[in-house]
Amino acid sequence: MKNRSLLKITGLFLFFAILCAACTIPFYFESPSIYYKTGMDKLMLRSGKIFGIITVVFLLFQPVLIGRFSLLDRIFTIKKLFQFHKTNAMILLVTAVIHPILILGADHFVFFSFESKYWPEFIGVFLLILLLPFIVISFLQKKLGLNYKTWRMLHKIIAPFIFILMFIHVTNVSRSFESGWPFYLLSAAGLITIFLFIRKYLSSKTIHHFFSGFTHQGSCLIL
Amino acid sequence: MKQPFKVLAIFALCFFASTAFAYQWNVDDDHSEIRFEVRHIHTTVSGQFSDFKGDIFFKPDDLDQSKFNFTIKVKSVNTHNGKRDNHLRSKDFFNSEKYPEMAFNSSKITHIKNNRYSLEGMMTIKDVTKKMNFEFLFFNPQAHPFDKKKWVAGFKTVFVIPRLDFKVGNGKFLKMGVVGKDVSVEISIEALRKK
Repeated sequence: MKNRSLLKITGLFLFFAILCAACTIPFYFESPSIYYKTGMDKLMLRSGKIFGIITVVFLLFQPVLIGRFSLLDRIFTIKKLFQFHKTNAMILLVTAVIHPILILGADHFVFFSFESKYWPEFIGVFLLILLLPFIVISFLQKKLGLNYKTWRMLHKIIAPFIFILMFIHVTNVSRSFESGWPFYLLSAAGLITIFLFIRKYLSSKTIHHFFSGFTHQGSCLIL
Repeated sequence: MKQPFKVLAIFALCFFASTAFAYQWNVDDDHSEIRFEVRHIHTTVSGQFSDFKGDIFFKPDDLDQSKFNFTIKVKSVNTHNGKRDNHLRSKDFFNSEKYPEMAFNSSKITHIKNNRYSLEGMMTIKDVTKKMNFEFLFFNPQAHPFDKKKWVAGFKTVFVIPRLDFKVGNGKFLKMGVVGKDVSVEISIEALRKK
């Protein structure tokens, strides 16, 4: 029991250590846009970037929490992990909304003109538009009368797109993530996420059913 | 009922009288540019305003009736760096939300020598209007190589705008030694008119 509590604390410590380390990126890997900001504008731009990074970290932890890892299940229990998954979603939604407000605030709310050179920013806007109903519908699934299986299927289909868009947005919108350690760490996190998604999809019952049906049909054909 | 027609007729007469002596030229947007350069620490950053309109009435023999009126959309600034362009549009520089256009209206044109002319007029950037004087070159009209029904003429000018005089920036980047105070502007216009 004592050992489980210690592991729980270690797990939480690890999460916050990663979160704090990621939040130092706008300080140690400053992008040129920060150089030209002073006073309140600088504070807003840096804070905006930090909120964006917090969103990314919380997002990256989402598949870990529902990954059904036996070690994590034993330490935190499945119920708690799913609860964390839900709380994380709410936190990342709030940080995702704050992120563009602060970034635009640093430029006195001058909106990007509709030009191709702002495509990474528009990917971010699209991501937010996608993320907002994705999370809100998940919370209101029962109230909206949405069938659990339908919701689960939609959740599984849309989630990888959110990660792909997030990766494209982050690596192209900020110079901090264009190269060096932030890029390598984000790429590594991206690869782990891909692995987690593949693992999750392969282990899901629907896939099992699909494959079993396929094998059955296949065997029928052979027969 | 006859009164409005009289006013209209007088107005039309004045309008045609003023333009009849000076040729009206239409700016060829595809071959005309408003470029600028400004010092950045040791180097020079260049950019352009892609969205502008120009009313050009010019005839070398009738400079009194000639005029150049330009309006430029500030949002069209392009320095090939999206973040810098947005910063230029912000309150730190142009404040494009409040002052979406810059304008130049000429008041006097004089001939200097050969194809060199002097242009005097009022430049408005943000809420500052100042008298400015600069030289321009006029390239004689010739038949357009691709459209023989049209004349094509050229105008070119290079001048310097002290940006802080027009409140483009408050001087903090100048004090930091980052952005220079003088902006070199080059306007190159190809203008067309029917033969």
